[in-house]
Amino acid sequence: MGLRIKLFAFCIGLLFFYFVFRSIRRNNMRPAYAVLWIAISVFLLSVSVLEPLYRWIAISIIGIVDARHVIYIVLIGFLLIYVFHLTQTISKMADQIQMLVSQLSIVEDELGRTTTMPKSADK
Amino acid sequence: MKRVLVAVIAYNEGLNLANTLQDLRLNGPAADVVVIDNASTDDTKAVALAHGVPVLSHCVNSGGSMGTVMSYFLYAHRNHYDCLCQFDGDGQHIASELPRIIEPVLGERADYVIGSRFLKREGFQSTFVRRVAIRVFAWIDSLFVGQRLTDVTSGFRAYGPRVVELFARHHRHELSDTNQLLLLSHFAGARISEVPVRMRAREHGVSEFSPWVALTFPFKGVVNILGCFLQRKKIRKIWA
Repeated sequence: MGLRIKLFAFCIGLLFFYFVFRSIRRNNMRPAYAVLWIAISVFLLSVSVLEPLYRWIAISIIGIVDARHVIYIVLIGFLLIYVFHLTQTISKMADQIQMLVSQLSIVEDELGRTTTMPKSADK
Repeated sequence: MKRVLVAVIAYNEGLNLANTLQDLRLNGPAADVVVIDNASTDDTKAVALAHGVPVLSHCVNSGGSMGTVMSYFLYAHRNHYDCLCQFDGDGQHIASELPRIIEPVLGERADYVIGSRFLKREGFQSTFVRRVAIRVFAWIDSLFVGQRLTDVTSGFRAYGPRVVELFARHHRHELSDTNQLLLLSHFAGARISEVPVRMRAREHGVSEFSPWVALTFPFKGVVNILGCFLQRKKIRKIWA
């Protein structure tokens, strides 16, 4: 694997680290979500150091001829897992929003009746 | 005295709703009425309030008529009704037909009653494409339920308290089509029944049934049925 691609992966990894930590610090990202992003950053940073290990895994275990493809495969794998997780989260949130909309409409109706009744009694 | 709730579902039905509510008051059975307004942009809510009917007004549109079912299930459960009916606000449903679907629930012979347009073939029969789609899903649902059903997508339905509790307390998830309601109720152990009813064509406005819906409906329907089938063991335990 060339020096340039290692350097590139390292820089991207550093950037990821920076943005993930900044988001956690600013409360823009829940720590549970940050775990996967940190894992991606660690993987990118580790490419430059652990490249022989990845090469070995790629060639002898998975059977990939070109070791550089490992980066892409691992990253796509990460992303697929992440998108899957997001789909689950969105579905759960849709349920929760539906429940909130329904409950709110009922509470509003009850509140409307309790607050307008004294007015009509005055008349 | 058994209490009946008629949930009128409405989205931008300002023009039809007044007639619907009047029809319910003059020709409907003794029942409480509630309007579920799915975040209409017209005067639907004002029309309902002018008729002295309570309104559950969604703050955001929760998508089609199925987006309103959770609201009426929660409302009916909270207020301990013995029978809950869904009634469309667009004028397609006829108030004088309500006793037909209410009666099996109050007589405790059924927990889920579908008012079917196709059992006697009276009144408005819907468009050809819809009829074909309904027939296919009716066939699939009949296989699962083990009895012949004809109008599975009908919005003219009555539920018993057990079905209300099922969806208001135990299965609080998005319900995106009527096959799902029907099959989940069936797997939970509800007695399904179908009675013949008449319907009208809508008077004003447009149906939520668009070409896009027609295109995606079959796929969603199949996935929903599959989902219900996969959830059947979990659902069975609720009443067991």
